[in-house]
Amino acid sequence: MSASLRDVRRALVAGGLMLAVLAAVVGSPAPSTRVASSGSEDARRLAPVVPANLGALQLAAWIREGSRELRVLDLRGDSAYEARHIPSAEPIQLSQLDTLASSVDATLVLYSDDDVRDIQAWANLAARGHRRAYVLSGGMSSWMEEVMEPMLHGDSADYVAALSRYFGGAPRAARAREERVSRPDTKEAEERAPATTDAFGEPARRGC
Amino acid sequence: MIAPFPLSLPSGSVGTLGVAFAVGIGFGWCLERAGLGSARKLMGQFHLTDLAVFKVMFSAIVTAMLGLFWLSWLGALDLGRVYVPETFIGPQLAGGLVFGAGMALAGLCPGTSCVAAATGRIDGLAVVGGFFTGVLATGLLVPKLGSLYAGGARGSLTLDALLGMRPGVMTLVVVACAMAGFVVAEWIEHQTAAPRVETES
Repeated sequence: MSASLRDVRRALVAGGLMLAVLAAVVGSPAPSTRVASSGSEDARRLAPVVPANLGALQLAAWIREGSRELRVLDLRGDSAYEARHIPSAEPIQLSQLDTLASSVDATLVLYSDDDVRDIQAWANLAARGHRRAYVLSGGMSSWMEEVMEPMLHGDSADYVAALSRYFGGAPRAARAREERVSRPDTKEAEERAPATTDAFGEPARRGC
Repeated sequence: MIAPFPLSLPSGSVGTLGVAFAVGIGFGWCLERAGLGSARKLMGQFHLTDLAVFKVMFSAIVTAMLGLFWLSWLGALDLGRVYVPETFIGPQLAGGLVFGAGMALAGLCPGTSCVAAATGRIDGLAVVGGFFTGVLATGLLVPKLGSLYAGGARGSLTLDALLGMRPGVMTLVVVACAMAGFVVAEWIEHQTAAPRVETES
């Protein structure tokens, strides 16, 4: 090995060791507060509040992977939560976010049935230093459509189907959709059909 | 915003495939330049005469680890979006044994066999054909191996979480292990290469 190559190697080893020692001193790879606070105070005050959105499939993948420090927060209220919620989600009210005991490095995913409430909650968390706070795009309905009853098509069909079944979902083949498209008059026929309740307001029986 | 890698692109998009192609070409070029397209080079690993594979792979691990740590710290990369493969103890143990046996027999692993094939080596082409056959056979057998295929699932494990250490401290430990490993590897190479030099002289 030539002397110059040996010098390069020594420099690389020294550089690597130095970065490793600094990493041990820093401790966490989470973005530093210095980077997070770059830019003037005015610019940050004037910046629009744009919450970080997260897709339902990505959230499902994180839950399945058992991602560390992931918390899913349901802001819809207790009755909606008890009726149906995303696995591992915790019911929480907007006012409780101020006292939420959670590391700023934790990944927080919010969802509700109100866009304004989503933004308020996300802005609250962002202002308190949570850089990994996300709003579930589309809320509970997107979870139902994309994870619990996904329409399978394309290269990702197998992946989505496996993910859906992991949560007890019922993935649907794209063929069912095509059949519905090929028979557009079905809905119209239903609309033209007579009322489906009997004289007492009970559901009328069909086929009897 | 994720930079410099567009990890947020949807899977299978042209951008993602383009990035994968560029990374693959770069990876192959590095393997070829390190001489790892040669089965003789890889067999030196098992004969303890040439531990270049160990050094190259461990260097790549340490470089990637330091790069991910500092890019995340600088806010250029969101580690939360980096996929961590799930751990399945049973199938991964079985796969590791099959992989190790195949590598010892062929003198090439999947990456280096592609490099060898791309440079026109017949043994590289044979190994590429072999592992595609293996992939096909495994795919056909998966329905019959359901319990083994999903056995010992432990989710996405990382060393720092498993050992309860801070990621930065874990980084230093792995780098220290790599440095110690390089020193030991060179000592072993020196020990095994010495008699050969005497024979040649």
